[in-house]
Amino acid sequence: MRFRRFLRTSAFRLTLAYTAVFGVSVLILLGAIHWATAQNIGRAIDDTIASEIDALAQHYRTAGLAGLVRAIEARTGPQNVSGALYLLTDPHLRRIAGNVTAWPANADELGSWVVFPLAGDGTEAAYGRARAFRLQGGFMLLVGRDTRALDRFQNLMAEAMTWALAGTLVLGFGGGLVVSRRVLARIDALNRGAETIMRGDVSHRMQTDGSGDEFDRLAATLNQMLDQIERLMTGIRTVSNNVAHDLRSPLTRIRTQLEQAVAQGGSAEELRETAAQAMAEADALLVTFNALLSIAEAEAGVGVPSAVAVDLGALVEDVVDLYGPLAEEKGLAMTAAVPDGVAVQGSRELLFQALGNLVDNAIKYTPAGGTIHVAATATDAPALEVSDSGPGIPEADRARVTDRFVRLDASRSTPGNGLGLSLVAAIVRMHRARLEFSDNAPGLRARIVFDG
Amino acid sequence: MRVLVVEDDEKTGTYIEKGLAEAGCVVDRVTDGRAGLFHATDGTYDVLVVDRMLPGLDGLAMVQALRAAEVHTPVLFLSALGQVDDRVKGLKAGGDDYLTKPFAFSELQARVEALARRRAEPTVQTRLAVADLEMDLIERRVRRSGKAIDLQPREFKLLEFLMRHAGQVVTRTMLLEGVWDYHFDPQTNVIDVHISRLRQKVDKDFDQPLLHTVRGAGYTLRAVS
Repeated sequence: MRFRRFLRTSAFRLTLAYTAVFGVSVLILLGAIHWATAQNIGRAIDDTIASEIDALAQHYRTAGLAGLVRAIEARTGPQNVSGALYLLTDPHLRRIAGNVTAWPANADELGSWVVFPLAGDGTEAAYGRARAFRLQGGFMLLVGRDTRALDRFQNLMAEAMTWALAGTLVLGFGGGLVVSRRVLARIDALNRGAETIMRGDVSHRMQTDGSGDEFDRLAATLNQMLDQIERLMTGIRTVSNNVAHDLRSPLTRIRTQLEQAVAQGGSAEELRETAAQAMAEADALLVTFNALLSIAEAEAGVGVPSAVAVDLGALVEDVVDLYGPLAEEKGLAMTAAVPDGVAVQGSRELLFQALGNLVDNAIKYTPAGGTIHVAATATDAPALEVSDSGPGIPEADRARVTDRFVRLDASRSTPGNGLGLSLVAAIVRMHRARLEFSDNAPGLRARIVFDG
Repeated sequence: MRVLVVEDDEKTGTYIEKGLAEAGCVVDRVTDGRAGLFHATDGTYDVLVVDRMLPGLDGLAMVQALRAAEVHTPVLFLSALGQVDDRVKGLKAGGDDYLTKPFAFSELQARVEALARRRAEPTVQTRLAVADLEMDLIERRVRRSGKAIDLQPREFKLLEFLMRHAGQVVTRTMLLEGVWDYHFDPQTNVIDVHISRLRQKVDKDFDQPLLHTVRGAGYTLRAVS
């Protein structure tokens, strides 16, 4: 089964394709070498024969027949290792000297190449390749070469090439197998990891070997994705837990109030009072739900539908106008810096809500006698800024205060639903801006920076 | 007061119909845009309460058709969408006010009454009066029992809004819209502080209070008889 699965893998198919391409190219290369070598050797032999004929003819002219015979006998002696063939005959083709027994029957045409069988030693088929030549006085001279050496060389070469090709194929295929098995093993590891996660072990992560190759990078990317998913899942779980928890208390209070009214009765005035209290609790619940819906809406999309130019200075002015009396009531001094011409593209309504929430928080948490400064700035990028002299947010908590329903322990006693900063963060994200908290020493400086 | 409710959701529709009937309105209810258009064209209603999402002809198209037919009955849009963008679209299509679900019934009632009243009023007024409180809109001066009351510009706007809606309940959201021109539900007592400051100036030195808090709903400016 494993093997059949392996045959189906793309790695295996790739191996096959590469082996085929590689094999064909090796075949073409070896064929070309073979052909070129054979050609060259053949031509070299032919040239040697031609020059020998010239030399022997010259010999005949200068030293006569006896000299020629001596020369031939010298050449066909024991030193003749190159397989040279000689035959000298009289005009009636009777042998005078040489190592070829009889004039080949097909060597009737003078000056042309002829291939003829040799007596040989019987172990292999022997052929000679020779050229015939007529000397003065009607004597015939045949000079050639035993082709066995060349044939042997060519056979050897063909054999070597076959082995080389076979070796190439085996190496290519085997190498491909090894490489694809390794690739497959890595992918299998990823698959097993994903299956483990699918079976419910969401904290499982892909193995990385630190090699930094593409599989390692893929595993790292997958792990980052899984981290993000786990974070979101935890977020959702926390939110639903918190929703359930935060909504249960007011609902229980409403129920208790109504239960008491039903059980104890009372005058119309008392009943109205109870109903009014229940209504106030229900209103607070609605407020929480509306805030959750607004956050969900703001988080649903990036980018603001029908964005307009919003004058940040005017926005600060409006927020201070609306919240100023509230701050004054609490004994806080609220100041504003309202520059001209600082504008961003966005929703006036949503930005007002975001800035309003920040100011509202500042008012809530700054003790009486403190100061709150609201400003629009444009030093690097346009920004809205709310700084107060309150207790600030500990650095460790700054990242999580924008999570839904997060209320720092220090703020448990103040009214609120823990959604204000979540809404601010959602609106800020929608505007491709950044929300940053820093130490105002003392107090908190919250900035919405539009540098996205 | 005659109100036409165009709402396809059975629960919401019944809830609005019952509530408005109890508040003394004559309520008709239809469940789709085509029927709504048909009923509303005779122009005998004081206010139309129209859901944005309706089967057949949707709320926006229905109101656009009405306005094209020169029917100017005030329209209060109801919507579950509640985005700023939708609000603008609703108002552009000819709606007069916009309310996002879920809403408190008191909010709906206050807005319906305000719309009905707006229709009855002459559009240009130079003087407003509630009991012994008088406001001169041209001179931008306020007097009570002949005594001048000095108001900040924002306080003046706030009082003007309350006086224009004298006798009706105005919610905090309506005040934020009418006076500050921002449309959302202020979740803290930020509006209450403005009201209490205004109350200091308008009611403190006088026997009879005019500015009353309506529990669970908002405020009303009226002389208690």
